[in-house]
Amino acid sequence: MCKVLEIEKITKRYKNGRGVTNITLTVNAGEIVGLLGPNGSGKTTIMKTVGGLIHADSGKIKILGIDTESETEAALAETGSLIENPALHGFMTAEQNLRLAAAYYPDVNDERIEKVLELVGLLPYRSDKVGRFSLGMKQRLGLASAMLSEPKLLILDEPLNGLDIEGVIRVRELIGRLSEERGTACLISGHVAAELEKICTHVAVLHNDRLAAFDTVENALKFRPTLEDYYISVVRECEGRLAL
Amino acid sequence: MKSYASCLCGELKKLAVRKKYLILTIVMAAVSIALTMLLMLAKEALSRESLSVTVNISMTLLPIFASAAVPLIGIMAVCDLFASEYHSTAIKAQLLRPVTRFKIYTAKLTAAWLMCAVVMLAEFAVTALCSVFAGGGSGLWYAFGAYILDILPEIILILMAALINQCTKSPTSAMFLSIIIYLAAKLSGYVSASGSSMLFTSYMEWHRLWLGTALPIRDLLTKCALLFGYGLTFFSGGYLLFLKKEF
Repeated sequence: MCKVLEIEKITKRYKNGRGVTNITLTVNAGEIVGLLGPNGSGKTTIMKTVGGLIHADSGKIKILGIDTESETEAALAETGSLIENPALHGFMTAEQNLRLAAAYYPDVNDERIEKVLELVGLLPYRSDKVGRFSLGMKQRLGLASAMLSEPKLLILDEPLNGLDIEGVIRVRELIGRLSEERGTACLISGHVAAELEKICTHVAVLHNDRLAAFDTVENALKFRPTLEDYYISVVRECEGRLAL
Repeated sequence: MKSYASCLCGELKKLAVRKKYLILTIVMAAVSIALTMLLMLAKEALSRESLSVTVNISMTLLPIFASAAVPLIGIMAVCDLFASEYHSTAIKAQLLRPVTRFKIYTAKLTAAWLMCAVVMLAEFAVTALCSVFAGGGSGLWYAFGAYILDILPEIILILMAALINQCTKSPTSAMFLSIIIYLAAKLSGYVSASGSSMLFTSYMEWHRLWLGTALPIRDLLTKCALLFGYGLTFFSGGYLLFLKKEF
């Protein structure tokens, strides 16, 4: 099994005391790992550290065996990310935004840009300024931008935010297809357990800045009816351990 | 190098899409044309041939372009490429791509400087035509050299504005601070003659050192070293802050 993302003992602490401590996580090709945790539990912090938006206090991150700190360009060449809100230029059209991103990848051509716009249902709006887009449309364009280069690793921070029902189904199917057909590894965050249950192959529960549990969704659902119950049981177990 | 070129093309596209730079360039050109027409009218009314024949519109307007209009455009470009992108979080679109922060930072600076250069050369083209119409087209090669030389010190101003952009959180404050600091440095140069030679803002009209009555080579080298020092300090400070910045 090819290791696409290796997070080794990552610690990041912000000035306000929040952050993550000693996170170790591996995502293999074709796996969809869901990061589950309450607001402020460090899901976005982990993703930002992987994407190089913030610097970890300690620990190492490797993408396809390449260290992200020392070889940023090579490590990010096979990564597509949508972290927090979509990073788009409102004064440019949807197509112009994708063209800016496409310039970094020699294999991405006009055909590919058209294809990703079609995949997320934005082809009719390709010439519209992004500033006039709704939240859902921006989110879809952000997803298109992340998938543009057909990366081996997708980092998606709450990708279903702002999407309508059809959009949610479309994105869910798209991620599943990429994982099955191309072996794309995905790291997805969310705080709606039911949604992650439908997409993910693995689940990582974050609690009190630490990784409380990491297992396959199949195993997680062996003794619990839903991922939400699994999450609650993990959190209670952690709190019980703390109380003792 | 390819990722740097992609980054630079992207920055230039971002600036080109914004209409304000084109509008400003057109306004400046319109002012040059209006001034030429005024001079030609004055020439006709007074019937004094010597009045306008000697006027070289390009050189007359160069101090305004080099010290006021183009620096303003440079500062605007830097604020659009840094502070505005921080504010809208659009900077993440680049940081998450396979390109280093060094290349992103230098590409942004290069794009802002190229914008200044394009505006400067466009204004030269317009004023040169105006000069020809006004009958003062004799010193155009000299004027061309002066415009080219005056593009160079804009780099230092852009580096200074980029450093300020790393220290502020909003595009408005970055723009305001950059303009205030530039104006303060420029005005203090007029107030204190001894201190003015140490300020980079006194060399925005760089051609005065090189064209016409040339300074001794030692003085020229000292001034080049001074500007280089300013550039190095602004660049190092700005890049270090950009490198440490978290988004």
